[in-house]
Amino acid sequence: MPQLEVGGKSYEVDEDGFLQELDKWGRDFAQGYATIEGIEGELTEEHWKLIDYIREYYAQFGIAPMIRKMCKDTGFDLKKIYTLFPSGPAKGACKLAGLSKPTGCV
Amino acid sequence: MKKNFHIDDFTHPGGQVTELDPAELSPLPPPYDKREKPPIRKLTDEQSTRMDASLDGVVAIGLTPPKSPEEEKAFIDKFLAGIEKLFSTDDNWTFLQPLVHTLEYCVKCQICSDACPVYVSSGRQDIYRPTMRPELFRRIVSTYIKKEHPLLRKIKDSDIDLNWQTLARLGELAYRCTLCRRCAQVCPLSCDNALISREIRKVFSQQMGIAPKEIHEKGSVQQLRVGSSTGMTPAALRNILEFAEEEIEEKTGRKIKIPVDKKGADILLIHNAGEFIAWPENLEAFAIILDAAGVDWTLSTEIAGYDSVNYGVWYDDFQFARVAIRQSQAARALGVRKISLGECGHAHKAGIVVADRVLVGDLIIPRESSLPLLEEIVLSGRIKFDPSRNHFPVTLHDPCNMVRLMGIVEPQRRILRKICPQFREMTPHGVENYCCGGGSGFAITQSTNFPDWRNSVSGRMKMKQILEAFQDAPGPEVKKYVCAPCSNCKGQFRDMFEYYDVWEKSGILYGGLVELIVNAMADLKKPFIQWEWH
Amino acid sequence: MGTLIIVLTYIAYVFIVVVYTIKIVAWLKLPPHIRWDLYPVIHEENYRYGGSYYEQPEWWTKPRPRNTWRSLFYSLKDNFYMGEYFNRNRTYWLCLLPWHLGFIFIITFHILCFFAAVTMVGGLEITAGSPQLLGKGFYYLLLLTGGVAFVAGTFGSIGMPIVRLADRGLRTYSMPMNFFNYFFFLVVYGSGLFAWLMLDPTLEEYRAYWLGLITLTPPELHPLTVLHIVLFDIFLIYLPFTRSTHYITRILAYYFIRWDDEPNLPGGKMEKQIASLLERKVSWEGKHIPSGKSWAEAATESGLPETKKDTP
Ligand code: SF4
Ligand code: SF4
Ligand code: SF4
Repeated sequence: MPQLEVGGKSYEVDEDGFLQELDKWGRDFAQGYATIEGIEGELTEEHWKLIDYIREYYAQFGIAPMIRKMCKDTGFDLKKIYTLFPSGPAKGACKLAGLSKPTGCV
Repeated sequence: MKKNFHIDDFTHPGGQVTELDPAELSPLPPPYDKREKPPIRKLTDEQSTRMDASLDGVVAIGLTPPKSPEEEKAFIDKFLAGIEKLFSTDDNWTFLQPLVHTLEYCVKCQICSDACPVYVSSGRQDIYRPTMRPELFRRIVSTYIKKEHPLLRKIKDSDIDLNWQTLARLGELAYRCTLCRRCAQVCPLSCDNALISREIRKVFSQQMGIAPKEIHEKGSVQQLRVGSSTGMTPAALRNILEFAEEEIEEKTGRKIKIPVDKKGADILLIHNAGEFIAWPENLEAFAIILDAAGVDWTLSTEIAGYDSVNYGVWYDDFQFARVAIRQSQAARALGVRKISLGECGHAHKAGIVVADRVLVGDLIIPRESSLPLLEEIVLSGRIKFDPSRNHFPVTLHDPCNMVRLMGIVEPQRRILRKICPQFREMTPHGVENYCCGGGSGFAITQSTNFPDWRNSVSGRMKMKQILEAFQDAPGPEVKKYVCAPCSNCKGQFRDMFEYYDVWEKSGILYGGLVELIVNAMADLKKPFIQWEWH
Repeated sequence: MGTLIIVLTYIAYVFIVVVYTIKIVAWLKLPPHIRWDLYPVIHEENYRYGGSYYEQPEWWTKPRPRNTWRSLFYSLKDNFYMGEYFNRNRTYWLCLLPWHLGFIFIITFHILCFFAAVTMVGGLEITAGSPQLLGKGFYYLLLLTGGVAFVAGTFGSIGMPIVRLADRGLRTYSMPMNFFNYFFFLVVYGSGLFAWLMLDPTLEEYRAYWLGLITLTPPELHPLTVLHIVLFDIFLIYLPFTRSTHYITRILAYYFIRWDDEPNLPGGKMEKQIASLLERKVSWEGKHIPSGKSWAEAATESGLPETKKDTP
């Protein structure tokens, strides 16, 4: 398994940098990863709103929320999500939220 | 430059059998003729120590090299024992006859090569010929299973010197074929080289326990454990359906309750669960149409009963049978009269055709495609349509599994001809179509650099076909629609369109069939298709 | 000499028939397999565009008309015309077709010789000027089939190695045995061609040879004709060792694999067959497969890795 250095700590990730163990996640992981993802500076309140939303949904249902639902529940449209997370909702936001890569035909 | 290729290249340790040169890939029409993107990412040094990429630099399985000669030998022996099992009625009655036929009667005439989109798109790289895998396979059988006399092997040129790396390359190569079976269709001797790809995958999976993670561990294994390869639990499903009901109301003003676990319903509709997460508009459209037509239907929340996928059809007979049986059991539990499959190509073939000879007794529940049902509804006049609402160019992608592999060709076309005034075909189409490039698990194989290969090589032919179908209005100002009644194909289109920047450059959207049907419904206030969600 | 070729000919014919039969029976005796159909399926009503009975709603309640004659004609036709080659590789086809016509005609020629000899025993005269119409007919028919066989076969045997070597793909996949075959067949056809053109333009010697065969009286033949006959007998014995059975198995594969769309309906014969195959024991070693159990058991347990002990 590959390891990734984020903010001075080492994490187990998959080949594409998705965190393998959900419970190792911490705010410092998201903040550290943001730099790798090319998000400048500190994560803003809006970033955290989305990340927290994703994590809560995941904790409840075991999967990432649908993008449409994510937009609706957070009030951000897709464009906004892309400005916040340039790699997009799945490859960007979910990754920072510590979810593993989506599986199945999605 | 294409170097002169020799079979022995497969057995030489180290190095790479083929180096893909972007300049050699088959050309795409402008503005896609200039490649700005780096073609296929190289593995990092760290990845290279863990994963073998010595076939073409690409990784689908990524085997870890053995640590000692003993380990290597054990690996080879176990593999050869697996090959032997392929020829046993006990272990492989499922495919023995087609396997033996292909191995014994191919005359190596290469007619199939030019039919293969992977081979042609790659700039005709020898390793991607449909005959390459069978060739290696035959040599292994001749040298190690039949143990033919060295002289005979010389005359037949059927010698091979196995080492770990040869097998690692063979395993990867089995995942460079989309199982689209276009090669088999043109073979004058009824040989099926696609089947050989699948048999090799089977030895890797059934014998060695090796398969791409997305397909096995996160795929069929997860589906059998949780209920869906997406990891979606029944609770998540209910949450999503609630959301879908809200969306339907917002978009159409209709209040529709999506029936779940309704005992004794006429139809159990099984969608690819990917639709629920990635393309909810598809299941919404289904609900709207079935509701408007007064059909008695239900969804299920049983294990595998809400996910029609059956990845086993790509690599493993046992995983295949397990999922097929679970799906039938879900239908039996509800006491429905029949199962109808939503828009998913491989699920069609797996659930309707291939499963046919796995199910016995009360598990034989009639199974059919939803397309003929949709055709009946659309053509019956039960719903009023206004085709002018679909006033944009539309072309149709034929999912191989539905068309070449099970002969459902016309229902979808009769629907489109009725509701899409600007419908046009791709060339070639129907049973001679080209695969989207995401077949046999490729569309869901999302790790390392495999997606690069899929987008630039296996999907290339389809990309070209789509652009050509719209050449009367190539620019992004005219919005266009590729109708792909298959979630797997849609996944491939999403990735490939992003890879080539197709929305920005050409204004092409992909989507299912039912979305177009609902979009044309005369009494809806707003268009159903939302172009902004490209 | 005469006796030798009589004996050799009988051995050759018996051998080829027996080995071909064994091969075909072995093919047919392979167990029924999972469906793996491929469209177009020619016996289907909508075969033109490759449609199947699955295009109808509730297909299991509808008739499934099958046109067996059409599919038979379709599958046989290609043995003589080789359409896929014509469409996809014209140069190759130009050599391949004569090469195959050589086979077809040389066998037909010999079978006709046999019948001609039978009628000769019955008193028929087979010559160009025969007073009996049948005699004339046989004469010209033999001349035609023999002539086409020798000419086409020779042409094909020369052309095939050339196209095989000229094309990169074909070259990679050619084995020494291919070239041996081309050479050997060239000698067979060439010797026939030579004997016919130089010594026996009316093919009278073949009739004498076949007459001798069925009356078991060694004929007097020119040594070059004898040479060709001996070569031809060896050719018959050699054929079963090549992939030549594909002439028949390709058709079987159409019927039993590509076009096998027979659904498994409850209570049918197929259901019983499958049920018995599901009782077979499996020995695959992957962790998710319970080696030693039957297919039915393996398929109904979940086979999840954690439920099974890890035995590498
Ligand atoms: S599979 Fe068929 S088409 Fe391809 S080389 Fe073999 S015989 Fe020829
Ligand atoms: S199945 Fe399709 S991808 Fe695979 S070898 Fe045949 S034509 Fe090529
Ligand atoms: S993904 Fe679609 S087009 Fe590709 S092989 Fe499957 S069904 Fe065919």
